[in-house]
Amino acid sequence: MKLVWILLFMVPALMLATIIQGGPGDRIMGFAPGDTLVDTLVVMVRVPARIGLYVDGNTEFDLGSAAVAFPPILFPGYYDPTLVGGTNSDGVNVQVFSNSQTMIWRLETSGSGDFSTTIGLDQLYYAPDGEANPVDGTDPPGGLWVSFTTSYVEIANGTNTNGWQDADQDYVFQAEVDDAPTPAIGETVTIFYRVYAQ
Amino acid sequence: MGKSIILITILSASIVLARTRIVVIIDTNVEFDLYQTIYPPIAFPSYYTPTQASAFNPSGISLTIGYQRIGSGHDISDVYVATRGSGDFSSSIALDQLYFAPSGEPLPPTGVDPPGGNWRAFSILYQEIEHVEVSGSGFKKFERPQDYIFKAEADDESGDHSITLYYRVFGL
Repeated sequence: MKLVWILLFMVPALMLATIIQGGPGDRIMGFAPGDTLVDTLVVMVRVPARIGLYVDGNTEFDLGSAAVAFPPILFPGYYDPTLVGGTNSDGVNVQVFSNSQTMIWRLETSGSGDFSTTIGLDQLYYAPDGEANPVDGTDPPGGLWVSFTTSYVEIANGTNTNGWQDADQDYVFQAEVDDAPTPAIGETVTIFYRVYAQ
Repeated sequence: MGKSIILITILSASIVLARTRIVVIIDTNVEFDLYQTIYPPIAFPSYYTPTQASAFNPSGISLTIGYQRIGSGHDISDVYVATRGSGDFSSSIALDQLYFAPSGEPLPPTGVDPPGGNWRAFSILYQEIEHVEVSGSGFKKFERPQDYIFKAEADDESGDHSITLYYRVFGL
């Protein structure tokens, strides 16, 4: 009999306590106490598959600077940059981005051409940040140093970078015995970096 | 048995006649289409506002709640509003990368984590937004527009990902 009474008391509450659901634009109504209104909406996030490249910045080798000992005691002599655009004091800041789960990204570099008739593009070397400087008198410089060419050469590759991946590059200039003096404003080349995924 | 039926009738009638009508309205779904933005950002995490949202609140949704007392009984004292999400967007994009705040909250700067201010991350458990004290007569309406931001993280996978948000309203 007690159970019957409990059930009888619960019946109205159970019948009247409902969850009323709706979506965007619906005017959902009910009564309290008893009803619970639940309104819903959908949130969509669309993340594009992208690759990205960041390079900073211009680099200068001023062998006429008071802080530089030129000519070197021994040729070829190797010189660090005297002026950089980014935060890597030995070269350039390079960062790569790829969020593709399937494709391989490739980072490559090349140079525009010789500095002058006597100063070849291949006198400029690059290596991953932190590479020790070559010893004067050694040619080629060894280690991980690679000379620039007008053809693209792969520096690094990989899959998903998990954000911007550092690929900073150090530079050294190889001074040779036949380097003719440059005009006061210097001789320049343009260095290219490219990234693609496939 | 007859007494029981009378009692049930009285109980039901008292509940029906002395109740409070409650109302909730949400106006739109929301989209963060990062194709339409500068992506990837220069640093992670970075915060994005919706690219498709309410006509009345371009930063999120228009959320309207209301109540109307019916009868003279003080049947409930407060209306409660809470929200939750259905689950993660994907294996690499978690539900807690979606944040909500009362409309007007400033966009957090890039690189800051958590976003601070009044921004709260969605979870699969209901979180109370607020409760409104029920008083007076007549229909009372409250606009509570909600802003959303999506926190892009370095390991977010590409693709289209969606979740469902729930807004729960009840009176006690």
